[in-house]
Amino acid sequence: MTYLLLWYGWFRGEILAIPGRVIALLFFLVLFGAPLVTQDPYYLRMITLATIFALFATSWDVLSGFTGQINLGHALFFGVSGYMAGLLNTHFGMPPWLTIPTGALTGVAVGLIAGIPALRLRGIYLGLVTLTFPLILLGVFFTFPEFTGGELGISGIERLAFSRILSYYIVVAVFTLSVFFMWKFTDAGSKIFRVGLILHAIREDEITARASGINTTGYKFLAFAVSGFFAGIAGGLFVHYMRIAAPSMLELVFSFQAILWTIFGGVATIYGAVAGVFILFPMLELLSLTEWGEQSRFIIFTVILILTLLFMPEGLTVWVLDKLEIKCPRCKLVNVFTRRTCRACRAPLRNQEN
Amino acid sequence: MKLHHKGWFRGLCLTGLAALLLLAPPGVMAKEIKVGILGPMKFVQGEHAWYGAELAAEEINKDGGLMVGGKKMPIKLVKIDTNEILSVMNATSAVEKAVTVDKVDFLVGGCSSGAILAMQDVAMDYKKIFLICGSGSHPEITNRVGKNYDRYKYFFRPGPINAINIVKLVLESTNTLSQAIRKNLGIKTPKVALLFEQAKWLEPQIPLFKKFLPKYGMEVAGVWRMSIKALDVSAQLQAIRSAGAHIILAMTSGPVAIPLYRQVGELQIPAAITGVNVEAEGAKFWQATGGMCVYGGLTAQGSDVEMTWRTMPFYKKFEARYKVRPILTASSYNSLLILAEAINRAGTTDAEKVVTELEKTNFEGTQGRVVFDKNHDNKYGPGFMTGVGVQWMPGGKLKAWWPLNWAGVTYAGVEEYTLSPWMVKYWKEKAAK
Repeated sequence: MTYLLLWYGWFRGEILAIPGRVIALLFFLVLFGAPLVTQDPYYLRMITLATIFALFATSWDVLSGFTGQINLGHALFFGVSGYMAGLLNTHFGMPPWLTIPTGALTGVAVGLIAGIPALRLRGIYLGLVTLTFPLILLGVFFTFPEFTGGELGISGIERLAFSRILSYYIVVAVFTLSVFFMWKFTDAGSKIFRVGLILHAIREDEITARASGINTTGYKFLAFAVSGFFAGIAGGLFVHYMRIAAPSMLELVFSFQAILWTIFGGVATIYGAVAGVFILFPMLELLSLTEWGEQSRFIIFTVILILTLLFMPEGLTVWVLDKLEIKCPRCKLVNVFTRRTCRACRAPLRNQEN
Repeated sequence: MKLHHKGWFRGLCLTGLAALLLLAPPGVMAKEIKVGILGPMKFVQGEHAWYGAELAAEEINKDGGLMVGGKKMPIKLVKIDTNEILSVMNATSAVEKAVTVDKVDFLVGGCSSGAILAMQDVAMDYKKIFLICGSGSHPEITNRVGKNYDRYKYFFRPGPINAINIVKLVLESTNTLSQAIRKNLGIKTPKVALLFEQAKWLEPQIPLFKKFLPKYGMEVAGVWRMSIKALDVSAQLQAIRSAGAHIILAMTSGPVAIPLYRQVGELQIPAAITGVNVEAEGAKFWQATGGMCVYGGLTAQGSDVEMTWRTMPFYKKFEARYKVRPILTASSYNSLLILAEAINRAGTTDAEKVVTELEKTNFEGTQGRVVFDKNHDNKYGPGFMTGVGVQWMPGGKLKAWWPLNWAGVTYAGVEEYTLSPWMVKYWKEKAAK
């Protein structure tokens, strides 16, 4: 009973008192409960794909948002891993639970190899180099069509699970665990990894970070590896869900989608990338259900992006949380916007004269 | 108590009725047969797939529709934008949506082999009959039917002919062209320049042409490559002229066809051009090349010559209605009519019974007679699906030059390939020296 009360106290203080976390809790409840409301294959497919892309976009946020390493070719990790998972499955009959992590580790290895020359560069120059990697790989894949399937890709890949519902829950569970890991990994105040603060420091001022004795190259490699691993997991899930590994996985548009989703939701937040995907991806899908929506969905998408960049330059989630949450000027604890004094130290949250 | 009894009885009746409805064979309760027309609808491929299907549906519905369960049922087309040229993922989502949201009974369309393979899997998951039309020639698409019949038996390719047969078609037609060169210029062993765009689908074809052209009495002068988007191919053409080639076998699916055919005319390259060229089949090709494509030939899978009794009426109807010449994917017209005949014969929309009837197809389409092999691919050869050689003539008209007595096949209006006057002059002057 005491533990229950302690848990409730923690839950109330750490979850219910913070609007952002309440929204996150509701989101995960809806995500896990969706099949109880509808089992329509189309809607389940839409949410499953959104979940996979959210994982992909979040992995980009770890590298580019938190660490400041501009990666314009993030599809490299996604594609390499997807193709590796597809090859292992179709050529060697390995099951998805083995092909997906193996594919993700291959993605990490390729990412690290690519990182050796790329990390000598910074800013937009790094971005331009990373942009070329998926295109080079695409050329390599086309050179060995008997192995990679050439422009047709690899088809006939084993299903993620025997039923749609099970596939859905596998994707959602992997996504939840991965996002939780990435959140803790990048959290500046995390007591588990103690890496987040260093990544922030590298992004803000790499020279100062290095002058402070931080092995910035090592941490950048670490960010590349973690980001590549989770993008790879997304790639593996994607090919086993779609049952095809196609060259389009390595195309520029795929890399840019991750960036667009994250910028829309909010860079360097983790939850921003998730929100970006879960708003924009289903919106485009649902618009296609009507004829006028089908005709105008990309115009609507563009207008929304432009308006977001104009009025919410830090992203939608940052803007919304700015309205819903208020940080205590004294103890820095997050409070709900309706409070006048801090829930912990009772300090006034707003200027009394206002 | 009495009321309670009545409620119980009513409930039982309703449950029974619901069970009957659920167990009823497909199509019994439906008022129309929904066919999803798949294609990249913002592109000409999708647009023409829709046009072709629209014409076929009108013909079918003119008489009240198809005979299902003893009564006539009209066909309703549902436009499904697959966006497959840009995204395979969009294509598979579109098929899933077509089946689960739009509740289509059958699927017709698709234009890219890679996307068709992915869409095929979704359609087979739902056991939906899926016929492609005009585009998607990769052999693997139908090989899957042979490898795993139980899963892929719902898939059929009434057209196009597969990539292996396209090579056969080009070889046969090039052979006819070489005979014209022998006859008119007195050249015993015509030299063929292979001018291919830099695309992976053509890689396996190069060794095949190199191997088989000499067997038809021709010599390979060399292999030249061009970018799919090149604006200038004069260097390759000059090299071909220097190599003494009499035939240019050009294979391209991209916009490079426009500068290629234009420059053959502008530079007066003394060689007859043929091959596969998607751009050059279009009605706007003459304008795009400024008429410089004159005497340029190619091998197409369909054209407005009497390949069957259906060809000319279809072309006339299509051009009158849409003011444009149909492209490959407009053969959705054939696919839908083949499907309609099978449904009529089966008397039901039940997929298993319709598959059995589709396998018995013997259909005179606009591009030849469609009979399916064991892989549900169309049969190729004289009397089945073939192709037609066409050539741009002065004034911007397309003339057919193949098949000309090929295994006994000649279509009405087919004449010998007309060699360009500059080619005839060049080789005659050279022979005189």
